[in-house]
Amino acid sequence: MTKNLLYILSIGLFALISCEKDDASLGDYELFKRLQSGSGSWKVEQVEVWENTEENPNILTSHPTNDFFHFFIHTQLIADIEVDLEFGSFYTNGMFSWKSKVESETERVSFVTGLVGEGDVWTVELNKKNKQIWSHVNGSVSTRITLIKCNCEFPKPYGEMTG
Amino acid sequence: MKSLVLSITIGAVLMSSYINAQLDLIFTPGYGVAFTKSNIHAIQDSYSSYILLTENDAPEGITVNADPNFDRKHISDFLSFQLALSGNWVYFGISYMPNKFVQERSVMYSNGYGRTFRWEDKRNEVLFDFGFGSKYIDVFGTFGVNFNKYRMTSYKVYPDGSKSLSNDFYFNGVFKTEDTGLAYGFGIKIKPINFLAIDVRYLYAHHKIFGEYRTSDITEGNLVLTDFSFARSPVMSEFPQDFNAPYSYKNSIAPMFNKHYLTISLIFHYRTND
Repeated sequence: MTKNLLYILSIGLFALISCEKDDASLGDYELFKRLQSGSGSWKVEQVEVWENTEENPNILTSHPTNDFFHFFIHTQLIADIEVDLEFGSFYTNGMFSWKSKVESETERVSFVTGLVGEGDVWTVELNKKNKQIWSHVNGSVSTRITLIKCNCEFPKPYGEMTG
Repeated sequence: MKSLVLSITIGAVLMSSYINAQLDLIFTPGYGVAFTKSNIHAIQDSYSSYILLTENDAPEGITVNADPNFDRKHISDFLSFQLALSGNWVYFGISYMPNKFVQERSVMYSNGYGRTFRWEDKRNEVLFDFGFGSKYIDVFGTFGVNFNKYRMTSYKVYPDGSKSLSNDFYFNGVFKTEDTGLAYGFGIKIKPINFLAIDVRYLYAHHKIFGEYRTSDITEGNLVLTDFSFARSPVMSEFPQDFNAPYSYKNSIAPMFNKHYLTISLIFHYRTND
């Protein structure tokens, strides 16, 4: 009995070591897997804005009602080859606002455009399974957003169904 | 998946031997302390050059306050995993030692602006141990491979204390590289009582692997610390070894970080050859 138990445990131990982890290879963006899990939607719970030039700045805090991000894989045809790209979109008041390619690492999330050196870069301050805190700097103005994982409702496509 | 199949196969072979022989079985997460010394001269040179740059660029009346350089030596707790058989004069085992060392250093101006560098050295040592095994003591040589990931994150610091990786500054970034190398050493396992053993081992983790010795002659290059982000300015894609020299591939940091380990850990073992 003991031997059997040891047998199972010893093999299980090495099997566990091989479990897939939230890890990245070069050129991979390891945070995306976490961001797109489940529905891939993250509600903006809180927005804080302040002047980063002051040591003890006044922080303006707001709580948007229905703003959220959505992270998903978008398949594009590039030179006759289907390529899976990591995308993020943003919804304001429940309505689609914008989408772009995203590079998401444990330290940084970048919404990139088609041009090198351009895009919005957010610094990851907290990286949890159901909660993220990101900050963004634009000159002397810093913004911090708190995101909570959600099953946010996407807007219905326009148009009518007719018989 | 390949490693899973390999692990299960090796585990099964070891266990079938164990069932048919009176050998000690060691299967355990081990916990202990590691004394390490890493050859990160290039990282240290880079940090020194950044301090020099900030001192030269400091506005009048502003002073520079810098942390001491990155440490080469570390003492840290660590986990290991072992599956081994011992007895009948033979010791054989496989060990897995994941470990991660993180260091942060800041160079600050007296006006509150500055920069923080976060150096992450994440290693996975996969080792095969062979040697002499007995009831109370095992002596073995160890040989294997290390799979390593390195990350240098460079943040701009603001007077309010916040840190940013925004693309406003081309020194900001997450510079990454990977490396694989051979590891070898020796160790001793003392088993005074059933269920508990002390594992002491020395390991030298080299940055190169078989066949790699002439690779750089052929490719004329290494995988250097690089930030691949599309959102960054291409002015400085590689983390510079010298901030005061032109930023280019030649002025970059290749992961030639050999490492010495001295580890002492407590492990579980089950004695069957009483």
